[in-house]
Amino acid sequence: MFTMSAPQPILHEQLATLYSDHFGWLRSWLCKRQRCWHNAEDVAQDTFLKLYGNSVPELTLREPRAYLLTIAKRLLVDRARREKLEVAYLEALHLHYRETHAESPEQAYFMLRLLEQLAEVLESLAEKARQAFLQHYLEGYTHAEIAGNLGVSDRMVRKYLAEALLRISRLEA
Amino acid sequence: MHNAVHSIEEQAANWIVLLTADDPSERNSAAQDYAAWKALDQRHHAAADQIERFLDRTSILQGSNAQAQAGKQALRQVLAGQRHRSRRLDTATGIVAVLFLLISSLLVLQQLHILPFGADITSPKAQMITKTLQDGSKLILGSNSAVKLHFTGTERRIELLHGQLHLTVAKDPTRPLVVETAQGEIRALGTRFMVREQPETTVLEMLESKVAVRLRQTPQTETVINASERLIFSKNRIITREPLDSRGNEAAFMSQRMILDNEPLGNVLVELGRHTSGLLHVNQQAVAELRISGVLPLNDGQSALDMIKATFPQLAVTRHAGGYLTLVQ
Repeated sequence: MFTMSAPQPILHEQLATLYSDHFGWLRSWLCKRQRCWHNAEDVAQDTFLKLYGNSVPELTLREPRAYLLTIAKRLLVDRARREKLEVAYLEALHLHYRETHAESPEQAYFMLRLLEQLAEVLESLAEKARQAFLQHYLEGYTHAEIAGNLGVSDRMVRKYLAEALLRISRLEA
Repeated sequence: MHNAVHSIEEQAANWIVLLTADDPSERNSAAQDYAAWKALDQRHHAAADQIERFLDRTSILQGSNAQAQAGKQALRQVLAGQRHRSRRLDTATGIVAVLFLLISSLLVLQQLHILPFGADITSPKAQMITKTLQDGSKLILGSNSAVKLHFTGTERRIELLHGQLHLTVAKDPTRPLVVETAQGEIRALGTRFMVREQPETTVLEMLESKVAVRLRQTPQTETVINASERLIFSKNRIITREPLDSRGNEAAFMSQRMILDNEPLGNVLVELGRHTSGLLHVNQQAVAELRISGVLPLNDGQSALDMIKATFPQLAVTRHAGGYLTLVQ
């Protein structure tokens, strides 16, 4: 670690320079990928917003394009996930469960935000850890029942759950 | 826990897992140690708080309301899509898998005759199925019956789609068990009973302890049924409430026999048809005035029909299409 300088909060003027040097390039890269000018503009804006107030290693400022692309790609993944969840949730709510009682916009936002974060956490886990989390915290199965369902030891179930909770502790606020 | 090698977040995660351990004494001592650990350092507190608040928000998905169910379904659907993509099932494997699924589901369908969509446990004709459910309750399905299970953190719900079930309920004071039929719901208060779903009516036979019944159209009223009672109800009213020979009826169910006490023959033949392989067609006009008493085997439809034929020589019981179709007229 001693060869690398510690991450520093990005400075306002550094951000301004980054923006003027690379915004057009990032937008056209996203545009080719997205085939939609409007979205590309949004995602490019969001990418620079992410940098604001963040600590970045000194090195990334000298080679910013790779770093910008990493952030932009992650934003694209988040956006696609959010859209899929929204469609799946509303479809399930209105077709399968025939919900007639209207949800308030706040309730819908609260639910979709929760689903988005849950999906992000669970996607990063292996299948068994994912199942353990869903069965325990959503379905209310005990540790022993999950151990039986997954064919693993009780200790392993605890390890899976702790792994999921660790990912939760690292979610961005 | 080895504090030295774990980050604060890892320690917080490990503590919170212990808070919902199966063993109550382990849970209690973990809760005390966890509180002490949080009080040690502001950063401990912050890490724990982030996880706890997230789990708190997650609890809205535990309910049985439409939002919670739809949320869970959306989550599973999106996670499943993500998994398939990352595995990159190649086309050849895909085709083989689809063919295999098609053929096996056709075989299953043929075996089970008609399978109601979405049934979790289904029994074929002339065969009972015994299952121990995940909560330890013992479920016996009569022949040609189907149930759907909806077990959540707050409730154990068994939907009887058709046929008959016998249930020995495992005690769980935090999660009541409910049997639901088209006519209403039966809430178990820890107990053993049988339920039969018929067209327009549900028959409940209490073997031990008691249950509370709510009819579909009058859910605000609850009727408590005690051991050795039989209740027949429709969507909106109680049709019969009578004493029951619980031991005899349970034994009859277990050995797949029907005990009949001056029953209309038309009903008996319909019930028999559900258990007999092939089709049983009854001319209801011909049997309208007839009543029958005795014991009929349900798992051997042919001898049951032979007994009926011997009792009512005026009826013509004829077999067609290699025994597949039986006419009673």
